[in-house]
Amino acid sequence: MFEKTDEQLIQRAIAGNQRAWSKLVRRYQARLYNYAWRMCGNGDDAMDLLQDIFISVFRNLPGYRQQGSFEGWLYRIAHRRCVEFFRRRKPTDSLQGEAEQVCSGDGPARRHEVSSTQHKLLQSLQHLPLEQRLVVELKFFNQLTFDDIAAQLNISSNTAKSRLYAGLSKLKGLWETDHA
Amino acid sequence: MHKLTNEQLLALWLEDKLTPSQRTQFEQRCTSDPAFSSMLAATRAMAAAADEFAPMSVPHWDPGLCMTPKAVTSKPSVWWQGAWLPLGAMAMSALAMVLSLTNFSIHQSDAGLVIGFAKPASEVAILAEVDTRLAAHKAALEAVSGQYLLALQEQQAKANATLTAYLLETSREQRREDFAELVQFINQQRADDQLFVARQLKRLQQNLLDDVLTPAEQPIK
Repeated sequence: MFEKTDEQLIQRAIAGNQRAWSKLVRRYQARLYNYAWRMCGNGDDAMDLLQDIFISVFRNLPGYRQQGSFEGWLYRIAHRRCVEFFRRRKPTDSLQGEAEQVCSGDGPARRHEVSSTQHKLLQSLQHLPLEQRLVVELKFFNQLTFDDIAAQLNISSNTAKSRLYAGLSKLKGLWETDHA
Repeated sequence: MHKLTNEQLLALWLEDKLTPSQRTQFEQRCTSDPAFSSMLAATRAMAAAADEFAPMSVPHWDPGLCMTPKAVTSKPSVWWQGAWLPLGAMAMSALAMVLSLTNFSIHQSDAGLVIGFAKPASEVAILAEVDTRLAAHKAALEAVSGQYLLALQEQQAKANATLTAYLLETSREQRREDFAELVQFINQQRADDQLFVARQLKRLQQNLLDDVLTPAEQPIK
């Protein structure tokens, strides 16, 4: 009952209320941090990407017109920042090409938090090109439909299906190789 | 029955949108196509891994760092930096141009405040009214001046008449007095003359008597 809505927090954050902004961030940071981790493969990059995302969110807050959910709007910004993040790291690589395996920069403390299965999954995801990784993330971890994914990534539904199929094929090959 | 590709079947299965006929096709594909069945297994494994995925805790960080000056929204910290200011200035300039081109004017008169575009008709009427009033005033002034002049002339004439009468009366009086003096003088002169003549006659008489009578015959003086 006393919980403020996203819109109320947004208005206060736009007005410069740091508490409202912090509250809004804490509401979504866990989901976005884990998203960033799955995209980047390590905690340090995930933290950098998370801060990038929220800086961009804050900058664009006045432009949020309440068309659709705030979370959907948030994830659209997150995808754009994610693409930009990888583009900055490897400006010569195409986003459709093979992703370079990210060397995990996590220390022992962070690795302890991650189970081996989970670690294996994260490493596998890093083998996917960014655009396939995005579709896998949105489909399996965000439970979005293909139409929603298409809207989020500004692609067609068929393109989303193709990328998911290609990503799953690649993962299948990796897991089969690991088991072999 | 339209034959769907592995990709299409998998997509429909993922979203639970298989029709009965498509489901039949799906099940047949699973048994007849090893590649499809291994894809399905991989998809199931991925789904299971996602379900079991334990979210990582977010390290402590300060969200306030995102509220940097560079990340400042368009909302200004001071009113004169507002986005409305340039628009407002442009609107005011446009308004000034419109007012200038349409001869906007504000007139205050005894009748009140008149605001309007283009040269107000009342100004023409006011000028005509002023001319009329000036002419009337001039006519009235001339009439009054004429009357005043006439009055002045009458007064002057009266004064002149009075003066003349006075002068006449005064000169008559003086003449009368002068004549009286003259007459008095003449009468005096005549009286003197009469005395002189009487004395002369007496002397003559005396001389005659002296000449004629002897001293014994002369009357006793």
